[in-house]
Amino acid sequence: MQHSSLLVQETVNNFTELPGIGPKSALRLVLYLLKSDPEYAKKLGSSIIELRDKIKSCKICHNISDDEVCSICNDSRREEHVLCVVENLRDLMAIEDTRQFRGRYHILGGVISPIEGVGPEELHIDSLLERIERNGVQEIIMAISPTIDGDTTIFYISKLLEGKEITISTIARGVSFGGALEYTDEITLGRSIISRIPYNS
Amino acid sequence: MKRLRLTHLEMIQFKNHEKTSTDLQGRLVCITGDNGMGKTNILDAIYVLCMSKSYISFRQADIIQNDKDFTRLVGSFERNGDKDLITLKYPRNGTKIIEKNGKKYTRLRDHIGFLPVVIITPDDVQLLLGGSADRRTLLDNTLCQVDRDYFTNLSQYNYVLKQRNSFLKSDIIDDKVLDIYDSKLIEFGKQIYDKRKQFFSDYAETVSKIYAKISGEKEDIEVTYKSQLNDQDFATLFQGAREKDRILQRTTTGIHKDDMDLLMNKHPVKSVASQGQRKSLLLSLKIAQFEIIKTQLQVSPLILLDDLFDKLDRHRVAHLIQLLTDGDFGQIILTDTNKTRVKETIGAISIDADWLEISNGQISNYEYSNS
Repeated sequence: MQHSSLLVQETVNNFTELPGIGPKSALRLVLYLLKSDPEYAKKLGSSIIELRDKIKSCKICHNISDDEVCSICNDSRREEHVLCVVENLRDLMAIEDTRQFRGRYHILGGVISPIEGVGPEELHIDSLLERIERNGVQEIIMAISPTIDGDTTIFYISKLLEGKEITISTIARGVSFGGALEYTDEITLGRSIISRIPYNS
Repeated sequence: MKRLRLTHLEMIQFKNHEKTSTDLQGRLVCITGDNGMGKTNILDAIYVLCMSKSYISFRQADIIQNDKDFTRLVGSFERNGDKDLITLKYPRNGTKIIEKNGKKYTRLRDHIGFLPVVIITPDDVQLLLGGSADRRTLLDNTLCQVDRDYFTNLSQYNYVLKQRNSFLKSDIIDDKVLDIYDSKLIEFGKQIYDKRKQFFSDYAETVSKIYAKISGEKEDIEVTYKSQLNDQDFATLFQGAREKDRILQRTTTGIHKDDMDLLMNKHPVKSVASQGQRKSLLLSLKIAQFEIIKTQLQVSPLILLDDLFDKLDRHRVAHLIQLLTDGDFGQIILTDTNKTRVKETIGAISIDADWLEISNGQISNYEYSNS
């Protein structure tokens, strides 16, 4: 699309780089910005600049943070001896949303996948070990996607922790809540049968 | 025993077929036409509908007609009164989609084995003369159709193998990571090995029986499973090869090195068999595949015979058709350049045959007159 204004053109191009935004949506956003209060555009622009300038990665768990240490790591009410190990920020957010976990997190930044150029040294594994050592962590919960690469990563970390006094668990894998058995794929269902749990009412 | 049959086929922008469709009524379908008219491509289209992959083209995108954006195949299949409509859509910039009666498969692998198929083409001579990969393909091809777990294990094994090989090429090689990959390869590989081994106990016997029938000769045929795992367990094998793997930067042992040994009177077929004996053995390998799939699935697979007379004399072709039609068979679809030759050869067999003539991508149905 060619626009009469180069300024519009450039802003539209910048917007289309965002995920999920095509040229039409971008134009709609740009026209909205032109129509709305100029203050809004200023506010939006400066918040984006500030976001990029000031955002930090928590030096403890690698979560995004406004300070050196994120609000979760700073929250003294949260259990310090239980760590939930996740692949990325989105997984952390998903678990946070459940409100079922009151411990702390550790973001690995991916899973081991040599095809993608990710080996163990590319992940935040050293800092995890250091944390476990320093804080006397008693349990780590591996909340990592149940794929071959996810399994490899869990296996690798568990090998590094061999001989240490620590409980390693993985999140349960099985039939989804409210799901019908007949529509569950056979690998999941098979695993659910093998790793069944005692019933307590 | 159920009998599978293809009753209608439609090809859109599939190789040289811009838009071709045809009905197939009989249980023996003879497709004739000059070279380059697209006979083999019809068989490949049927194969793709059954197996989701081309048998002929190495690059899957090559099944889409040149300069076109997509290909589409539709096949109506019938077995003992049950009808199924299978549609395959394959956009050049996308992934293949297969639909069964309008419902899309979430995983292509769920489709494999639903439409069992055996294909015999002139290139199959590679089974005897080529490398081990060709023979493993025959093995996997058969087992994947009859055993879904095998398919799953094999794709997981191959995935881990790829990861392990990439890891061996990286700068820092941590033994712990290799240990993990090894244990995964062992986990998946062990199941593949067991199933292959079990398969061979049936297969070897079936092949030599069929060979005796086809050739009427007394050579002793032996088909055996050759695997490094026959002599050593997996863990020892990987441990022993680790240094070598590091140097060569790839995984040098495992079930991806398995092979099939073919012996005639205790000597390698490659070096002692005559041309005729080779042909007989080749057919035996394929018919045994047909028999095993049939027994295990209780469905008689489609048989696709490409350019049969190219490699076989009339006598052998007649014998082959006889052998296939003797038992419980569903449908045979064959191609040749010379319709008179086909007619004369299969004339003795009392099965209603469909005659299709293909010319410039158009298929016409004709009644074969006996005059």
